[in-house]
Amino acid sequence: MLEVARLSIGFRRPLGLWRREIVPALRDISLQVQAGEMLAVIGASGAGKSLLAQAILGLLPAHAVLSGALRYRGAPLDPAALRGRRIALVPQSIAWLDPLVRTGRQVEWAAGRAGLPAAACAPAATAALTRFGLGAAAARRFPHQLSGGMARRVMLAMATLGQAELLIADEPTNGLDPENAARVLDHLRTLADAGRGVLVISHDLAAVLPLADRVAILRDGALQETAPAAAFRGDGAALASPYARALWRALPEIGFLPAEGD
Amino acid sequence: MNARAKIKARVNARGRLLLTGLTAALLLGGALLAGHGMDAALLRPRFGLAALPPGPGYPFGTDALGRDLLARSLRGLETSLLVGLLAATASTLIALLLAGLAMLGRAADAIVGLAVETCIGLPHLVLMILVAFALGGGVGAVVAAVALTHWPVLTRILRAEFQAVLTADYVIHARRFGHGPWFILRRHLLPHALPQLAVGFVLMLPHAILHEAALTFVGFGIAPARPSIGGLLAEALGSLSAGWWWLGVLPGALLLAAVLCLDGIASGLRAWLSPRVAEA
Amino acid sequence: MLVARELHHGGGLLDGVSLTLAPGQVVGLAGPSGAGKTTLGRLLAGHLAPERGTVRLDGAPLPARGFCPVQLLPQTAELAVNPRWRIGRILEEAYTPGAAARRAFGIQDAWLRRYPHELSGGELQRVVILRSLAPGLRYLVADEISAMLDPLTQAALWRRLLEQGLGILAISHNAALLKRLTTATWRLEEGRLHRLPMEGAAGVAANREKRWAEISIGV
Repeated sequence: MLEVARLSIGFRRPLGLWRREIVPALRDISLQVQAGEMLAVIGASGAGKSLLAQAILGLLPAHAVLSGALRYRGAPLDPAALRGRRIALVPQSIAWLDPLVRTGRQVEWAAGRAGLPAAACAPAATAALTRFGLGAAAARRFPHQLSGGMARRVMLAMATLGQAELLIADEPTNGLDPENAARVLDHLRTLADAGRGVLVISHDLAAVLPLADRVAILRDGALQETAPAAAFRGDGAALASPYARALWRALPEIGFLPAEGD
Repeated sequence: MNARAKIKARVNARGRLLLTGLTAALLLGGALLAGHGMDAALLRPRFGLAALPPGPGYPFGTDALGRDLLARSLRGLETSLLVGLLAATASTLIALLLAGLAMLGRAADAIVGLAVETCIGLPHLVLMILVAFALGGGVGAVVAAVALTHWPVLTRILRAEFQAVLTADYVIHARRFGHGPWFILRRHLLPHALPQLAVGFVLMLPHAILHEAALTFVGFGIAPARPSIGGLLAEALGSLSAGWWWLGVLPGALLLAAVLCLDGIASGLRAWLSPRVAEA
Repeated sequence: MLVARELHHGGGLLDGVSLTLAPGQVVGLAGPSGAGKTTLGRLLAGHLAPERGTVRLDGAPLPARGFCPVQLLPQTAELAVNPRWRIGRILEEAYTPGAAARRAFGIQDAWLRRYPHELSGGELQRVVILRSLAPGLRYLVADEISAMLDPLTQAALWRRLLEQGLGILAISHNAALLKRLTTATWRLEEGRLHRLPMEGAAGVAANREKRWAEISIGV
């Protein structure tokens, strides 16, 4: 469904007063997301993972330089046309919401943006919120009154209103306790099982691994490997790259081992 | 590629703002120097050359008494700028003092807050006229009048800035590292305050100048013998019906240009002092 | 010994909380979000004064002057540094860390001239941690310091911290991490501390633990 081919992203950065340089952030990334699967992109903070989401959605800042190809269903990806309709983002923070408007109303707006006719917006919004366990009380609250878990679920609701085929979740477990994090990921898994493609961007391998189909490991902007989730097993021998193995063994659940030479 | 695109390609956003600031400063400085360098004879009445429109030899024309308008305007700008500088300095110092006092405690903060809110609500011009009148007019009175009416806005900004810094987590950490109030003032507060002070000062200049012009125009400011933009505009008012448009329009345009230059300098200053600027 | 006795704070947020931290001991603190773990951490490090109750270090109140032997490592590093200071200056606010220490915590020399907003959250977190490791330090309150870090950086960081031999209160949601780090874990819920059993979480988290038990054999 989604194909990323040799994507590279860099940033123009001012050097002193006169010059500027291009700082590479992502280098030569290639991956695919199929319908019905959950692909996790795992990397440390600063590895460039969020940039991938921004590139797909056409939300890169003005000083970004992009090369490579993004394709959706075989055709070159046009973010403006697909964003909000076929491709939806579940963003990291509630900063994306309007702080002065009640949640319920914002979900209705999202329904309108997703292409639903005006009359269908309100019922669709209520249905979406209910699907994620949020009732009328939550709809009446303002964004800053929502707890972390509730806010995430509101954004999930907004992203799933239209019939988006591809969902991109940017750090869905950030700031959530294990209960809520697991719930959000379970929702995403259900959406994948229902036939959508789900791209999860995260640094939290432990939370995402039990639910993902395949895992792509990013390090300093470069792709180390893309492995099926089943390869993360035992002592990680099934993983191809040393970095992925080291990452696996570093998990407290597994070995809590730092990399060699540290 | 035209010159503009060339510059944009070579120089990043921060550099551009600094360039603007420097250009503005040069323009302003040049104008002042030119005004100073002009022949003093141009400022004396020459009745044979009265009321000439702008033309060769007289870029701004002459006024009703035959004085060269460009020379008068530039001298007037110099006076206005001087008054503006003095008033803005005094105002900034008042604001700094009050904002600092407000940090001493809850009661002090409440009093300063009340003073700021009250004074902001008062009409500027009326207050200034009262002060200038009470002090008998002249440059000193104008400086005092402008200074005493412009401190509230900067005080509010500085007070908010100081409060934000003093309640910030990193200040608490600094205290837990063993640093005392003097260290916190010098190393944490001042770096935040200085840019605000500098930019606030430069932004106050146009206000001060315009208000001085207004005061002089209304008759409570600088004596008519000494050229000032406000005075020039006041003189021009009577002559407008005679069709001598240049007497009002040109000094006014000069004032506008000066204010725009100051704005440009303020932007450049802000870009220079602040590490967070948009990437190129 | 760092002893907190009968802490009451925040209108019921902390309702008679008592906690003891021995030198070199690592204790975990878990609990629902917003339950007051951060507040407790700040009280222990002297960032807040408790409404009732005391915090004592070796029998005396926390020192009002000089470097406090109990330091807080906060959840958000961005707020703990002056945005107008360069990294080099930030690092040296309490003491001067040596080049070896900087390398050990993965702090690159190129960062020293940068400003905080030019580093990522994880990178800034390491700067803030190293800044606090001054010679007089004896106890650390680590508030979710590795939640934003990838597993490798997390493991390396905690190994380094444990090498320092400090008494640490590790606040975290990560049960597996706490199991690795601590000898005892407390749970703060509804204003009170409960001793947490190391096994047997309930609900959704238990499902996850089961799935993990199926796929790992432990190295």
